[in-house]
This record gives sequence, C-alpha cells and structure tokens, in this order.
Amino acid sequence: MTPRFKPLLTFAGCAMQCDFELAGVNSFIIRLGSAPSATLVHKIGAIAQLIQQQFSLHIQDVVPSYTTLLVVYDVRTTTFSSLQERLAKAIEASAILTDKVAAASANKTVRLPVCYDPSLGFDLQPLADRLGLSIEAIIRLHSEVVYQVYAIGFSPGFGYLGTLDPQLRVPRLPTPRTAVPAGSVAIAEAYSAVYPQQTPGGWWIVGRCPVSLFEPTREPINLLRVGDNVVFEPIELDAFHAYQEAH
Amino acid sequence: MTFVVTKPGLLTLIQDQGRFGFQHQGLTTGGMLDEYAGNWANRLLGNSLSAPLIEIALGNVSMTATADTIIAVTGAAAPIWVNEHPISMWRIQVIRAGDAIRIGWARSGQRLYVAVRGGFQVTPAFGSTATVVREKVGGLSGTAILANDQLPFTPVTLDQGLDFAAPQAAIPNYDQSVQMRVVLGNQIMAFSEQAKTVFFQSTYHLTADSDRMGFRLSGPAVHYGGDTILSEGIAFGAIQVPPDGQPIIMLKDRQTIGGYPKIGGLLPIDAFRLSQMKAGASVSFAPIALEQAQALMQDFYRFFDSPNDSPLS
Repeated sequence: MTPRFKPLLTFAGCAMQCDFELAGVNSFIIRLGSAPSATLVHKIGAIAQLIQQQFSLHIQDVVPSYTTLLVVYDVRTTTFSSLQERLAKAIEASAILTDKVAAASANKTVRLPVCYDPSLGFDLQPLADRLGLSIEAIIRLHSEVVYQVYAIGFSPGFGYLGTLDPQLRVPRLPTPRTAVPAGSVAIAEAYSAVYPQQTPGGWWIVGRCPVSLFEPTREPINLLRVGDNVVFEPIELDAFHAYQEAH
Repeated sequence: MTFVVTKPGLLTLIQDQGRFGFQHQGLTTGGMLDEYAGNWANRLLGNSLSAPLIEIALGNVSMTATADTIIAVTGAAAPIWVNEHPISMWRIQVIRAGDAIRIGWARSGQRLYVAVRGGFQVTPAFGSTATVVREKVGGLSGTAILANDQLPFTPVTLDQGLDFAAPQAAIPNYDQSVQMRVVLGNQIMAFSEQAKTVFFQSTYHLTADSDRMGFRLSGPAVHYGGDTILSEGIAFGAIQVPPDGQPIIMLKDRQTIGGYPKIGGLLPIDAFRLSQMKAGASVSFAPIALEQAQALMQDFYRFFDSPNDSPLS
C-alpha cells in the first residue's frame, strides 16, 4: 500500500491524480497515482519526457518511478511555488499529448533474447525446488508475460519489470551475491530485471540476455525507458553464443 | 602538461558540480561532496565553478608538475609542501615545471580540493567529469586516481609573487559541531509526534559506515509508523529512515531511487559541511522553512557566481 499524505497542492482540474509533495530545498515529488499499474507507468514515462523537454531551463533532473516523479530544479532560477503551478498546468494542458506518448510507449516493445540454460540461469533448479514447479514451467511463466518498465535505478540502465506471474514470486536471496554477471536475467518479489553490468545482486538468476542494455557510447545509451513494454524471447545456448560472437 | 601522481591516496577523484539529466537512466549525479570548499578553490583561481578539480579523501597524496601553472587547495586542513617548503591552503600557489607537491594527512576535515588554473582537462562523460566509481563513469577512466596517472591541464606561467587568499573568516573549522537544518518533506506526516521529537531533540553520531553514497547516523531510533513506500526518486541530502530507525543522509553518489521513508532534505550547505565530519562526530537537527532555505541557497550560489578580486579573474 502506498501511504497517502496530505498533498500540498492538488489540481482538481487534472483528470488524474496530480499531487505535489515537498522533498527538499530544490526538489519535489509529483504523485500521479496510488498504486502502480501498466497504464500508470506509460503515463508517468510520458509526463517525465514532457517535463524534461518543456522545462529544461529550470529543471536538473526528473526521476520517474512506480507512481511518482521526483523533480529536481535549479534554485537559482526558480522556486517551488512558481514551478508547481506551471508544471501542473503543463501536465493538464498536455494531457492529450501525454496520452499519445503514453499510447506510443504502450505500443513500444523491447524484445530481449534470453538463454534459460541452467549454466547461465543458475538459480533455476533451486527455484524449481522451492516453488514446486518444473524448470520448463518457470521458463514458460517467465517468458509468456508482457512486462512494463516500472522504474529505472539501482544501477545505470537497471529496469524494474513488472509484473511477474504470481506463481513465480519469491523474496530476495537471504544473502546477496557479491557479483552477478552482466546480462543476468533475474526475478524477486513481483519483478524481473536484467543486470546491465556486473554488480552485487540479491535476485534469483533465471537466465542471461546477450543484448547489452546500457552502452555509454551508443544512442540510445539505455534500451529501456519507464513505460516501455518488454518481452523475453527464449533462445538456445548456441544461439546465445552466436549472438555474443556477432556483437 | 600534467601532474604526474606519485602517491594517489585512499580515494582521489576527479569531480565537478555533478552529472545532471541522467538520473532517469539510473546514473547518479556524483560531484564534489563539499561544494563550499570546492567552489572556493575554483574561485581563488578565477575559474568557472564547473571547472574539474580533484577531491582527496583524508590527504596523503603526492604529485609532480610537468609544466608551469597555479593551484589552490581548500577543504580539510592538512600540511602541504611544494618542494618541501610548506604552503598555505585557501590561497593561490604558483607552480613551476618540476615542482613536487606533497599533501600530508588531514588533521581536521575529511576532504581536500585541489584546483588548477583553467581546470583539469578531462573529457566529460554524460556531460560531466564527476567520477562515480560504483558506475565506472567519469574521471580519467571511471576509476579513482591511481599512481602514475597524469592529470592534464593547460599551462600558464605566472609571476611567483602573485597572491590571493580566502579571508580567514571564510575558512571553516571542521571540528566545530553545527546544527543541521532540514526542509521537512511531505512524508514527515507519516512519522508520529514522538518520532519527530526524537529526531529533532537527539544528538546523533556519524558512523564509520559512511561514504560518498550516504552518511549513516547512530542514535535514538526514529520509528516510522506509516505504510511501506514504493521506491521513488531520492534527492541530494534526503534523510532516510530504514526499519532500524537509524537515519541515513543521502549524498552525491546516492542511488537514484529507493523505498525508505524520508524525514526531509538536509539543507545542501549543511550537507556540504557534514561531508567534512569524521566518524563519531555528533550532529543534531532543526527544521527550516522552505522559503528561508531557498534564500540561503540562493545567497550561496550568488556569492560563488559573483566576480571576485582574484588577480586571475
């Protein structure tokens, strides 16, 4: 459950929830809903883009997440009170535009090949034992869902992909691994993710994706954006190696 | 035209004002932990505030210049020698090719800043030279500075007698304890009156488990009574309260999103000061109104953006 705080400012004119909450001397949270959903994340992704484009003069960062946007602004050029009113109006005025962008993102699907070979998805067997499912069933349940990017964080390009089939939900590992190989496809609680870099990690590893999600020298640097759809397409081990060799 | 690093120290990083506009990709801002000291170093040299400089944790760094230039060292108080002659901090210092600069261990404060005239010439990554070691982004190659690294600058030959220093009153005493000011965030409403009283009336201590991501405090537990929070963007200076009730202050290398409830945001000026405090130092907190906090930050930036009397500006 998301706690509901008394918002500082609520715009009744907005067709959707649009509450402004103070976060710090040059930052605030815009809360656009109370529970995460596929519809909401498409919208949040679209509004984040809109704010970045229209307010680039005053705004340093816009960080979208499950139900919120954190807006960080330049205290030298604007204030909270001046900005919140203008942002709320812009969000309201561009509802049709953001709906279009949201619809486009709802139609944008990033397809990621995944090799579910147990040599790469080394938690498949422990997961099968824990969940009472076969490895084949886990692979099927994991790859048959269309995910949405609910948030990006933890490390550059790390997307929280929701939501996982309820049958696959497990808590994080009791002790995180100190290093998870780059490309590892993992699950924990209601989410799946691909580790873009080798980092420590506490999620269960079910496979590996040969596509690099985050490339500082590529445009776009990050394959995923909040609101995008993601589909995992199972590939065999030899296809995985062939892909790696070709790139 | 470089400084050749002969002794890199514990954690020496190329830094600037930080990396903005990429947090939605999961990239943190990084940037100098103490903008007050860092900005002064650039100001003394007549540099732009965004000129890349180096941040040294605790001192113990040596380097040799291969060309003429001028430097300024600010921040944590440490003994500094040029060719074994002691020099002052918070003051410009003309350097000649071949000069050996040796920075000893900090006696007060945690981070030193070394700026060079014109700034270190480093190619920005995602719009900034700030090094974030965890992300392997920024700096010379995404890492801390290592022995034999060369820190490039554009040479300038100046008269040895050139002098300019920060006024004594501008130099902080990092051993003095300061009350930290907090802009209350909206989630404060989910903390009980008792929890708020505990936080604002207690003294906390900085723990050794503090780094560029965040400073962990230890003291009376602040109990959050509200519901679980979905991960959301974390601002610089955010005061998070994890389930154990021991507050964490999120600093320049913080993760971009997180799900702990927050009391509010530390006034950045105070967060800069906090980052000069050592493990065990005591801190206490007081709320500040948003308008007053914004005015203080505007004054801070206005001062550093204003022209100064540096003979180099």
